[in-house]
Amino acid sequence: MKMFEPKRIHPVGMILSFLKIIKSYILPVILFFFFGNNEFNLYFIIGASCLFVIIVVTSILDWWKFTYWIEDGELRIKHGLFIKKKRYIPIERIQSINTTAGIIQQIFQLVKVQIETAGGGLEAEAVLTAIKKQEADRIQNAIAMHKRDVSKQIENQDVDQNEEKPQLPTFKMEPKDLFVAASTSSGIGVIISAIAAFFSQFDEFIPYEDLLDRFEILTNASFTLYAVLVFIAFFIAWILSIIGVLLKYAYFTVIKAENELRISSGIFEKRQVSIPISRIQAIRIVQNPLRQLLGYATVYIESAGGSAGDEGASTILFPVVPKKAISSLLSQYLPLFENSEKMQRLPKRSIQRYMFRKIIPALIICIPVSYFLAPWGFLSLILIPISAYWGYFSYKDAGWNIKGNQIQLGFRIISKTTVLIHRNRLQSFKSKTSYFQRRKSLQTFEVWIKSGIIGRHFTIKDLEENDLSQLGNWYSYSREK
Amino acid sequence: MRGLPKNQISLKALTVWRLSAIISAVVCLLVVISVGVGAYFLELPYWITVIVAMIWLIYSLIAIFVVPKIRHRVWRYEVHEHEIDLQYGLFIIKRVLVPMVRVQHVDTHQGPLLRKYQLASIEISTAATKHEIPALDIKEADLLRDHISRLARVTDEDV
Repeated sequence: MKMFEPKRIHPVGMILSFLKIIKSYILPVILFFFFGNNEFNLYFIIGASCLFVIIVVTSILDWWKFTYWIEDGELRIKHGLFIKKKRYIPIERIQSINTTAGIIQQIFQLVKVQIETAGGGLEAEAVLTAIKKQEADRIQNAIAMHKRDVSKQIENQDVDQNEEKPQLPTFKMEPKDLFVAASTSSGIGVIISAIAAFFSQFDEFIPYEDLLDRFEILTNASFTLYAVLVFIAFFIAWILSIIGVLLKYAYFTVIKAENELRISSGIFEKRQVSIPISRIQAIRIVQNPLRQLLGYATVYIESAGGSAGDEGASTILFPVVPKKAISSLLSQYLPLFENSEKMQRLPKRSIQRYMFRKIIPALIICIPVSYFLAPWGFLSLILIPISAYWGYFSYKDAGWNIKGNQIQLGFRIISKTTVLIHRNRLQSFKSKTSYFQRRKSLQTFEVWIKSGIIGRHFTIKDLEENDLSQLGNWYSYSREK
Repeated sequence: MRGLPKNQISLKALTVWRLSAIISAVVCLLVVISVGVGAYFLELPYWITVIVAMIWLIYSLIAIFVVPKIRHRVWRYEVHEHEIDLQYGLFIIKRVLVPMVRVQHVDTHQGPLLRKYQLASIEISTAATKHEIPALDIKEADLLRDHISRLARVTDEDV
């Protein structure tokens, strides 16, 4: 083994660990600054400087004590300031290696490597925060070599690895799709809430005193002014979210290697994730209402194990692609999954229940609002047709389909969602029947998959009873059908 | 799907559930009393206390006398060679299939009440979900646990 020597990571690791500690302290400090009494007395300054020195020393020692090496088919890490901690990870157990590079890493031409096993946990099992790119490649190669050796021993095959690499299928975002993705992203909500939070800091300037009072002083002219202001704010938020999405997906690439998908993205924050195809639990196809109008969808991978990423356990496979293209893309990148347009629908008698479920809450909101906040409160009556629509489409988009060992589920919460799962990935199968459902011989259907550290469940409400027993027979492992 | 799962849980479960309902009713009674005392000192109208007490009474009676009966009537389980079949629920009846190949591990555990009546509950965990069979005879629970874990060991898939 050439990586026998224990190594330290790059000294930049000190800065990173320093920043990480500061990050965890920054919120209390800001809160203290905003809500404290703003008296910078001597004690506060002494305390803060002591804390600062302690953090600096800790991050230097942390870096000094952290060493890693590969030995006996294990990745070994030794770290810990007062308590020596050793972590040995058998290479066979390594599920994925993610390399990312944040801004700091890029300045110094370094990468961050996260090594994950199937075990749960919020953090990856091993994180090397700053190492040289070549070093990361060496680790990857060493691990790949070892895995190959092991599998050779197992299979007793002497297949020579071809040095010439065949052209692997590669997916990149089309400029047109990229623009659609950007202009229809739901990130707008995040930005609006950020702006709202920002403005709430300035409530001295804007009298938020009494909503009711404000309704009374709203003359027509100021109402237009408000509307224009709101519109401008929305527009700015939209532009910002467009820029955000463009940055996020501009270099989005998916490469299909032999038995894994390599997904990389980002300009400032380069991320690369490799997902072994055997770890994929399900495929989720999501269309938010806006994208549905334009005929676009996002495709996610649900995979087991790994650490909690930015979007939970789902990894984006295709950020925004035309719905029509999904079938061919799937057959190219994940031939085991098949998305069909036709699904078994729910019976007509479920419509009523779907409508009620959405309209009743709307009524509960509208009636008091209309009553107490007249005349503007009557605006809330718009909710009723909206919720009726919502209920109807939730009914229309619900359905299921079985193809061999794969089940396809369709439902709508807000976005229209289609899920593709293989039978051996379903952890459990549940039917629920309430008293009212029994009278109409309808049942609710719920399945669980393993996704990330915990599970994830998908529910279709009010299926035909007979359909559900058909699904049960398909799922059942007992042969007495 | 097939007919209902065959086995019912122990009849002693009724007693245990009733006891735990009585205990929680007593705890709630303390809350009711404190509401009454608070209403008295804050000179709020006495009917608040009356309403709260009525709600407590009705709820407790149902929880002690009705709920355990229904739960016991609905609860059924059966362990087949390849899967576990459960049915439970109060107003919403749930039917669950857990394939043996998905079972990660099985535990039995007992609270103080269950121990007093020689009962135990079984918890079956898959990679994503947990399922409980409450209040079985302790001997039966141990046998069943070992039986399930033997059946579950047959396959060796990851997740």
